[in-house]
Amino acid sequence: MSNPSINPIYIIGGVLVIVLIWGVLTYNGLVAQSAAVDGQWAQVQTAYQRRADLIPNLVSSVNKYMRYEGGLLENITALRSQWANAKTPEDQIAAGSAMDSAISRLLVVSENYPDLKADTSVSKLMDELAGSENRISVERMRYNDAVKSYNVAIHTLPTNIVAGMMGLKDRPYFQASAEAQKVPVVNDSVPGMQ
Amino acid sequence: MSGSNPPRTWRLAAFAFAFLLLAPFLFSDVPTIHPCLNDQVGVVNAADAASITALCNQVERNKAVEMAVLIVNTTQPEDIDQYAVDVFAKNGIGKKGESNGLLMVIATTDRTWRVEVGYGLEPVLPDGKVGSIARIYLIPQLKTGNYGQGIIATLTQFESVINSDYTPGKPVSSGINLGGLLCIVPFILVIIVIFWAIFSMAKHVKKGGKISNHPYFGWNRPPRGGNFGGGGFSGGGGFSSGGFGGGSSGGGGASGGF
Repeated sequence: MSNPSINPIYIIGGVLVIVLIWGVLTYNGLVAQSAAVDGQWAQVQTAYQRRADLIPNLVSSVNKYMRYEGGLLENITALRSQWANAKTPEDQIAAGSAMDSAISRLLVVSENYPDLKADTSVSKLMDELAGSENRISVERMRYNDAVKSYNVAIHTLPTNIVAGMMGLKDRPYFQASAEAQKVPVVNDSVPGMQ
Repeated sequence: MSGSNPPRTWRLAAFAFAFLLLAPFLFSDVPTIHPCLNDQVGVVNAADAASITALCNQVERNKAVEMAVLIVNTTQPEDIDQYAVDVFAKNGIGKKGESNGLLMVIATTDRTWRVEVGYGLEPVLPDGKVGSIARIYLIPQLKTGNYGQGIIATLTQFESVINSDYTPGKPVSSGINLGGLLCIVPFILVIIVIFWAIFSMAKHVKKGGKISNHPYFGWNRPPRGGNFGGGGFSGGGGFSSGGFGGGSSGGGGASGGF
């Protein structure tokens, strides 16, 4: 105590400084990760919007070939407006996933129409549609990766101490696979079809 | 046995540990590729390979667009779309910030192809255009096993589209990231203040005072909590290998079978 060279204040202060710096760095890292999740969510939305924008053009150009798929096309159009009206991420995920299965159904069905495959403008639209599907799956996978690393970070020691103090919460995964893998039933109860 | 010669055991353990750490990189199915042609199957003859290299060098020179062709036997267990995205991401094809890369993958056993277009090239090479070009110039040649000619014809089309429609942006400076440096300034200030505070406290105590009586740091004062907004780290330097610039893609392009 009387030894002037080992002042306990220095030790306590030094430890405090290190802890504080660590806390700030950790918190900022988590904030950056959270922002990365938001940014990736925006990418997912862009990919969905891109596909939604293709639909009117697509429906009008494949209509004359797909005489027997009117229900499917109506369904896709209806889902597009459902997407356009969706406000919350949950609604967007629901509408987007429903559209996933309808579009994949359309891509499969289109194989049965040789005339349609021969039409170059339709083939181009089909390329765009397949590309949109692919973009969606890529961006969704990256979104889930970003969510995963964020969620893991806020639950593992010692980062979870900071996350708990700052009240950081889990981010939701985009779980569309179950919905998208279900073979869609072309229903005739879509408004406008009767 | 281990007790007799601990350093050797430790060294072995260290090697094993390092190996475990490196294993995912060593055995990764996603190949590291270099610009222009990567023919892992050997279906392109030397003359065609030279033409492909010349074409892709020309595009690089004129428009700073990075192109790569990868020929593999199979992309399994992944499908070719996912595989192309992974190869693109691992190698960072295209200039960083521009993402003006283009990757063509052909799987000879699977009989599938994909052209993956970087974010920056999507406006000039939309999926429909890529698909149309591939249907005319690539697929017929692939069907007859004319891999080299098909690739040359397709890349020639891409080159003419890029030459007429694509304007390369300003190259992203690879110098010091000023934004990242500025983020550190508040930290340095905070650290200086904290050290000054400790020094001041210590001096105060040394002079015989009590911390509780310290003009700034008395216990009865509310603790001073730092409140730092902003901060944040910049995304880190671009990881690029094999001579690419660190560009990225998001599943744009077209694919199919042949």
